[in-house]
Order: sequence, then C-alpha cells, then structure tokens
Amino acid sequence: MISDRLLSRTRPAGRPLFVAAALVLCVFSGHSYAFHDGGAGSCNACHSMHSARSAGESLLLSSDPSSICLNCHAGPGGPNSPSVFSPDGSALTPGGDFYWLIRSFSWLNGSSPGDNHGHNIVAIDHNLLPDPQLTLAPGGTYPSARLGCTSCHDPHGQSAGGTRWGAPPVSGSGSYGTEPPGGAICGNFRLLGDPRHRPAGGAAFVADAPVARQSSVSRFAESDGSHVAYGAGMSEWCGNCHGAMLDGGHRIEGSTFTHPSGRGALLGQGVVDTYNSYLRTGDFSGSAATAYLQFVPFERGTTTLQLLDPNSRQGPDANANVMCLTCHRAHASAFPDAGRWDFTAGLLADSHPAVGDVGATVNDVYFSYYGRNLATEFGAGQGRFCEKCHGAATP
Amino acid sequence: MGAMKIPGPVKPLSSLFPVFLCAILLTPSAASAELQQSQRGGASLQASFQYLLSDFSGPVASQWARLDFDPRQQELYTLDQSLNEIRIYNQQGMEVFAFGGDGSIVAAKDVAAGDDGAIYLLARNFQRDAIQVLNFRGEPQAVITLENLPEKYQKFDPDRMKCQGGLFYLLDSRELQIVVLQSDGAFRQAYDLTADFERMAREQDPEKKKTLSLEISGFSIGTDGSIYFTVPTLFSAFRLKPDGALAAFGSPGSGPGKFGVVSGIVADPQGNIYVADRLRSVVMVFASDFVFLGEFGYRGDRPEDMIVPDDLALDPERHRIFVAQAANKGVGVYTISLGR
Ligand code: HEC
Ligand code: HEC
Ligand code: HEC
Ligand code: HEC
Ligand code: HEC
Ligand code: HEC
Repeated sequence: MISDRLLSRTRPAGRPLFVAAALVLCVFSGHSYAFHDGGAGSCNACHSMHSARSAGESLLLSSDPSSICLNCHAGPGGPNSPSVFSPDGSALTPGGDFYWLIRSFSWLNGSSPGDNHGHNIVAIDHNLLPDPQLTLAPGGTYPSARLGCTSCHDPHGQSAGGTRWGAPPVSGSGSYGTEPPGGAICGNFRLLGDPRHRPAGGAAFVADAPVARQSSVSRFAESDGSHVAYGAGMSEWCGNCHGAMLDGGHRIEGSTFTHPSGRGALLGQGVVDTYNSYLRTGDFSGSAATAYLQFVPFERGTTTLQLLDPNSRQGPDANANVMCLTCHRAHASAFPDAGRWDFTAGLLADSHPAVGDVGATVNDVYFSYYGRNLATEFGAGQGRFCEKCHGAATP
Repeated sequence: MGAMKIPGPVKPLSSLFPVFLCAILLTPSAASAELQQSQRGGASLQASFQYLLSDFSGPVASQWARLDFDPRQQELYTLDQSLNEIRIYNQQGMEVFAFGGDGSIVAAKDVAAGDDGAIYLLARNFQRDAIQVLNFRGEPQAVITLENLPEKYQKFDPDRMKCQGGLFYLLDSRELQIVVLQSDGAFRQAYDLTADFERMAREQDPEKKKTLSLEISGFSIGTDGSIYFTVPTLFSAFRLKPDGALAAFGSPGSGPGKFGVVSGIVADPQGNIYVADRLRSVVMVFASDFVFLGEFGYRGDRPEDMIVPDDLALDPERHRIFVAQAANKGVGVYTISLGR
C-alpha cells in the first residue's frame, strides 16, 4: 500500500513526540462507552504507539485517517448502527452510505458511475479511492486526494477549539438536543468541524457547525416521522469547501441548473403552501401537520435546539429555507451527485438503480429510496421531488 | 448470570513507557522477513505464516470475509458479503468450490458448516428467509425458521451464526442477545446481555449517564459450548460458560496484549483464546485464565503481515488459524504452537 509507506516515511521529526506525550497522559484515564460522546473517545481506539514501523503521522495505525474511523463505522446498517459504510447499502442514515461509491450501474442507454454518487473519501483499507474526475471541491479548493472523514468531522470532537482554546469541556453529544451538565458544553452536531477545525490538506473552516437535532431513539435512521430536524447553517457549513456554490452561485460547468440555498434562501409563502399541500404529482390535498417528506428536508430557520423536533411531521413555515441537503446527501446516495432522488429521471419510477441494470442487486433498488417503493407509494406518474416546493411545473 | 471483571495480566507497562517511546523513534523502517511476534515471559508462542487462501490464479481477494472451519472435512468456508459468495478451501488452502456470486442463494450475513455435511446460511432478511440449508453443492434443501421465542426476544434479528455440537447459536450483535436452537429450529436457550453490559459500563464510567451504544463484534463457540465474544467500545472480550457464568478480560492500550479495536475471537479445545485487533493489526493469545501469552502479526503489506484483521477461525487438529482481513487482502493462514 503506497499510502501506508508514505505515511511512515514522511513522518515529520518533531510531531510524534508531541503526540506520544499527549497519549501518555491519557492512556490511564477512563474511557466512555458511548464512544465519542460528543468529544474525544478513548485515544487507544484510534492511536497506537507501539508499532513504530508502520504507525505514521500522529501515530495513527492505518493507511489513512478514514480507515481508522471505518474500523468501527463499517458494517451492516440499522436504526442504531453507526455504520456509514455497509456491505450492501443497508446503512440508511441521514448522511448516507458510502457503499454507493463502489456501485456503478449501467443500462441500455445510460450509466451511473459510483464515483459520481457522493464524496469519494480516501480509505485504502476499505478500498475507497479519490474521485478520478473532480480533483478539487467544486466551488472551492479542497483537494479530493485528501478528502476523508476527518476533513468534515473533528476526530476529537472539539467544539470552539476545545479546552486548549478556553472552551469548556465537551461532555455529551451535540446531535440529540440534550442539555449539558453545568460548566460543560455539548459537542457540535455530528462532531462536524467548526472555525477552529483545520482539516489536513485544506484551509481552516470559516463557517460554524450547523444547528440540527436528531432523534435519540433512532439515532442513525431517517423516516418522515423520525429524522434530523435541521435548524440553520448547513449550507454555510458546506460552503467551507464549496464557498462559491452558496446562495445563487450553484453553477455547474455544462449545466443550466442554478439554485439558491442557505440562510437567505427563504421558501416564501407560495413555496410553503405548495410544500404543505403537495402529496404526489397532481395531488395537492395534503395538510401542513403531516407534510414533512424525508426526501425533501429544509431548515426551520432557528438556532434554538428546543424548537427543533425530530419527530415532527409538520411542514415548513415562513422562516424556513432551502439548504444543500434539501437535494443532496452529505456522504453519498444511490444517485448521481449524491442526490436524495435521481435528478436525471423525469419520472421517479425511471430512477436508476432499477431492476435489470447491470451492476444492480435487488437490495440496491430497495435501499436506493431508503426502503420505500416510490411506484406503489406515489404512483408510476410521480415526477421529480422538485415539485414538493414548485408544484407540477418546475421553474 | 454473574458478571465479573477479571483484570488482564498486570504487567507494569507504565514503567516501560520511556523505553517504548525511544524504540518508536529509533527503529528503522526496514522490514524484516520474519513474521513479527512477541511473547510473554514463561510462555512460548510460535506462529508461522503459511499462505493466503488461493485459487489457481493466486490469492483470493476478499474484504472482512466471514469464516467457518469444518473439522470433519478439514475445509474452510468463507462468505464474501459484498459479492454474496461462498467459497470452500481444502486443507492446502486451495479453493475447491464456489457458489452464490451469480445470485443463486439468498443474501446472507453469515455461513456455518454443519456437523452433518450441510451448509447453513443466515439470511440478511431473517424474517423472510431465516436459516437456509444447502447441500454440499450449494443447492437449497430446506429452511429452518425460529419459533416460540420468549417475549423478551421479539426484536431478535440475528447477524451471526455458529453451529456447534448439533446446536445453532445465533447472535443479534446490537440487541446483545444470543439464542440457541436445536438442529430442527426448536428453541432451547437464550441470553440477554444488556443488563450485564450496562452494569459493566456503569462501573467503568460511574458518574456520567450516557446513551448506551454497545455492539458485539467477534463471536464464536468453544468445543465445550462456551460462547466467546468481543465488545470493542468496552475494550473487552468475554466468555459465557454454558452454566451462565460470564467473565470479561482485556484493557485498552497499544502495547502487547492490550486492546485497540478488538474484533474476531476463537478458542481452541484447551480453552486458549485468540483475539484479533483491527487497529493494532495483531492476533493476541490468552490462556483460559486470561493470562496474556503472546501475539503475532504486524500491520504491513507483506503476505505474512495483517491489515485490519476481523473474523477468525481455528483448525484445532492442525493448529491453524485463519485471519480474514481488509484492503481486499483475503484470508491469511498461520500455524501456531503454544507452550507454557
Ligand atoms: C476517533 C478517533 C480518534 C480518537 C478517539 C483520538 N484521536 Fe487523536 N487523531 C485522530 C486522527 C484521525 C488524527 C489525524 C487527523 C488528520 O490527519 O486528519 C489525530 C491526530 C491527533 C494529534 C495530532 C494533532 C492534531 O490535533 O491533529 C494528537 C496530538 C492527538 N490526535 C491526540 C489524541 C489524544 C490525546 C486522544 C485521546 C484523548 C485522541 N487523540 C483521541 C483520531 C482520534
Ligand atoms: C472504537 C470504535 C469507533 C471509532 C474508531 C470511531 N467511531 Fe465514531 N462512533 C462509534 C460509535 C459506537 C458511535 C455511536 C455512539 C456515539 O455516538 O458515541 C459513533 C458515532 C459517531 C458519530 C455520531 C456522533 C454523534 O454524537 O452524533 C460520528 C459523526 C462519528 N462517530 C464519526 C467518527 C469519525 C470521523 C471517526 C474517525 C476519526 C470515528 N467516528 C471513529 C465508534 C467509533
Ligand atoms: C463532506 C463532509 C463529510 C464527510 C467526508 C464525512 N461526513 Fe459524516 N456527516 C457529515 C454531515 C454533514 C453529517 C450530517 C448529515 C445529516 O444529518 O443529514 C454526517 C453524519 C455522519 C454520521 C451520523 C449518521 C449519518 O450518516 O447521518 C456519522 C456516524 C458519520 N457522519 C461518520 C462519518 C465517517 C465515519 C466518515 C468517513 C468514512 C464521514 N462521516 C465522512 C459530513 C461528512
Ligand atoms: C472538507 C471539504 C468539503 C466539505 C465540508 C463538503 N464537501 Fe462536497 N466535495 C468536496 C470535494 C473535495 C469534492 C470533490 C470530490 C468528490 O466528488 O468526491 C466534493 C464534491 C461534492 C459533490 C459532488 C459529488 C459527486 O460525486 O459528483 C456534491 C454534491 C457535494 N460535494 C455536496 C456537498 C454538500 C451538500 C456538503 C455539505 C453537507 C459538502 N459537499 C461539504 C469537499 C467538501
Ligand atoms: C434544489 C436542489 C439543490 C440544492 C438546494 C443544491 N443542489 Fe447541488 N445539485 C443539484 C442538482 C440537480 C445537481 C446536478 C446538476 C446538473 O448536473 O445539471 C447538483 C450538483 C451539485 C454538485 C456537482 C458539481 C459537479 O461539478 O459535478 C455539487 C458539488 C453540488 N451540487 C453542491 C451543492 C452545494 C454545496 C449546495 C448548497 C450550497 C447545493 N449543491 C444545493 C441540486 C441542488
Ligand atoms: C425546499 C423547497 C425547494 C425544492 C425542493 C426545490 N426548490 Fe427550487 N426554489 C426554491 C425557492 C425557495 C426558490 C427561490 C424563490 C422562488 O423562485 O420561488 C427556488 C428557485 C428555483 C429556481 C429559480 C432559480 C434562480 O436562480 O432564480 C429554479 C430554476 C428552481 N428553483 C428549480 C428547482 C429544481 C429543478 C428543483 C429540483 C432539483 C428545485 N428547484 C427544488 C425552493 C425549492
């Protein structure tokens, strides 16, 4: 493994000593069984000091940082499984399953290559390689060759730089809206990097971690009735690497599609009314109390966690805004551009993967829409989910 | 069922720290040709690498394959979960048969060789497909369904299966439940480990109240019916005796015998226990009283090295241990001899 050698040969002289010293301090401290618990889990689950010859930079014993994470985050999915890389597409998490990166589908007159299904993280131990097409983040400069879990997530779960920077200690997950004990704080939502986070290979982040809240009962699942309730700041956070795509800047070479997203992209009353009444193509008999659709989330436009209810089916109001995750998944999906649905299909029944595609298993088809059968639930005439906001005709 | 934390061997590693640090900084990167191993004073562990499981075109790639050894036929079974393919290897580690990659079997989570020559598959969709019985050619023969489960086990959805002494042992690694079935599927016994683990977790972390997030990783059955398993986030391995006595061992760390991210576990007929560690990329060996005897393996690229070892299987007669690995490396085979 080239990367393994690279890491061990290019170890900077001064750094390991510092890391080793830091590790000695913590080796004998207790460890927590929820593992990260919003902050740094037991050092020994990620760092190893005694296998000198292969432990590279930061005494990490693997080909790359993402391979460390996948020691625990790969495996079959489930509502309380933290797996984000399953062997079969079963990790139906809000962020999505990196499994889709290794699945390419093709049919009579088209194809959907795996590289195009999301963020190509580099995890050599798990056979995941950089994106061969996009070498930088579109709309930014982050290099694809360095993209990994720790580009986006802080492995030590620090919030505001951690105690080193004067922040109170992190003492709980920041993902479930729980109150921290006095004198402590909860971590960032999903350990996401904030302005003190400087991912390897890129510049320090400028935008805060997003405000969102997940159900503490089904922590790694998503449905209309149990889902991440997004509050604010997700698009701005994506803008840490895709800065030029924020707001009206979502422009892609060779495509005419543009779309607003972010704090300023308020839905407006017309779109709110459409969202709340839309059930399926041509059927506008729905009501606001049950309008929420997992495939078309939005931000409620609040930074107050107590106002976010992960079990609410309530549709948006005038404070809500469009965000990147309205249309995309953060990790990957079964579809091009990590779409929450197949952007290339005029009717969703024509989505790929489909039964009969080369490279597609029955499970792939089933898991592509998170176990929901769109043809039976929405009908064969169901159009693109853009309609949830724009009605029958997309502008 | 009594939970009891038996501390690992108390070797004062702390006093050796400065020495280890120097070793890290001074050891050259040159690879030695031998399998890296270390042993504890008083014990002797000899491990030698044999080969990677192969077919006629060379080592067979697989990622974290599920393993099961059939002592009667001296054959090793592997399940590649992403291809849904079963491969069978002979005594020499050569593939003799493969099936399933063409979609001819149901999607499976685990494979077990029966004492009766049959091949058992634990279906991914357990509610629908249960345990599939195949003949030695991989042709479906029958289905064994699970009935009369006690109320407490209604959510039971197994993801691991072992066959031992005419019984099926099924594990739900997230509900922390084990169900034992007779060969016809009749319910025999069940264990719910939640309470024990909760207690243990509280002991480790008394003042904080956290969401419990425990998952069993490695799972196997000893010849005496003892159940062995590992829980990586507790940095512990467990033995559950048939009489219900539960014992734990292991402690976090990165020195020999310490746990990083533990995975596969197997025991030999003498009760010696082998534990794989994904992070440290070693297989550790413990005596039946949990005393650390030694370890072998080293994270590297050579065939004899290991990359993120996971499931283990044991050939008791010929003292071989099979190690399923990541990075598409396939399954490494080592022979071991132990003395004390
Ligand atoms: C969940 C895995 C994980 C845990 C737990 C963890 N680390 Fe790290 N650590 C990493 C990774 C990954 C990197 C390298 C980051 C990169 O290169 O992207 C790192 C880097 C470091 C560095 C180098 C400087 C830096 O901040 O990048 C130090 C020092 C360090 N860790 C100390 C610790 C200590 C002390 C603990 C225990 C309190 C700990 N780590 C726990 C994953 C972890
Ligand atoms: C030792 C096993 C282990 C390792 C290694 C590990 N994780 Fe985790 N991770 C878990 C478990 C168990 C959970 C679920 C319980 C929890 O939230 O702490 C989890 C949860 C998470 C969550 C959700 C946490 C929340 O509060 O919402 C994120 C994000 C995450 N891990 C990222 C990472 C990243 C990034 C790495 C690598 C730097 C990593 N993990 C390494 C075991 C691990
Ligand atoms: C491009 C940024 C990015 C990368 C790369 C990334 N994540 Fe995430 N991850 C996120 C975001 C954003 C969320 C929250 C998604 C949501 O709630 O919709 C998330 C959510 C999660 C969760 C909670 C479950 C879920 O999927 O919602 C876990 C666990 C996790 N990530 C682990 C990982 C691991 C492990 C890796 C590397 C293998 C990784 N992430 C790589 C951005 C990233
Ligand atoms: C740490 C930097 C980083 C962050 C943060 C980040 N991305 Fe990316 N993103 C990249 C890079 C690099 C690429 C190009 C490589 C690739 O496609 O894997 C990319 C590619 C993409 C693609 C194209 C994927 C494909 O295969 O065609 C989409 C869509 C995307 N990002 C959406 C998002 C969204 C939505 C967020 C916020 C949840 C986000 N990104 C956050 C770095 C980042
Ligand atoms: C209303 C839906 C929608 C929203 C909101 C949205 N996107 Fe997209 N995105 C798309 C569609 C559709 C495509 C594919 C367009 C095409 O290929 O014609 C796409 C493509 C992309 C790509 C692929 C670019 C490439 O060169 O391949 C990236 C990166 C991306 N989006 C990032 C983002 C980010 C970051 C945000 C938030 C700032 C965002 N998107 C918000 C619908 C959306
Ligand atoms: C969550 C609701 C939502 C979804 C889903 C959505 N949009 Fe929009 N869209 C908006 C809002 C809000 C605006 C800005 C106000 C307006 O024009 O009504 C907008 C504006 C637009 C515009 C005008 C763009 C401009 O730059 O002026 C186009 C074109 C568009 N959307 C197309 C799409 C397409 C195509 C999709 C599906 C891929 C989609 N939208 C999905 C809410 C949504």
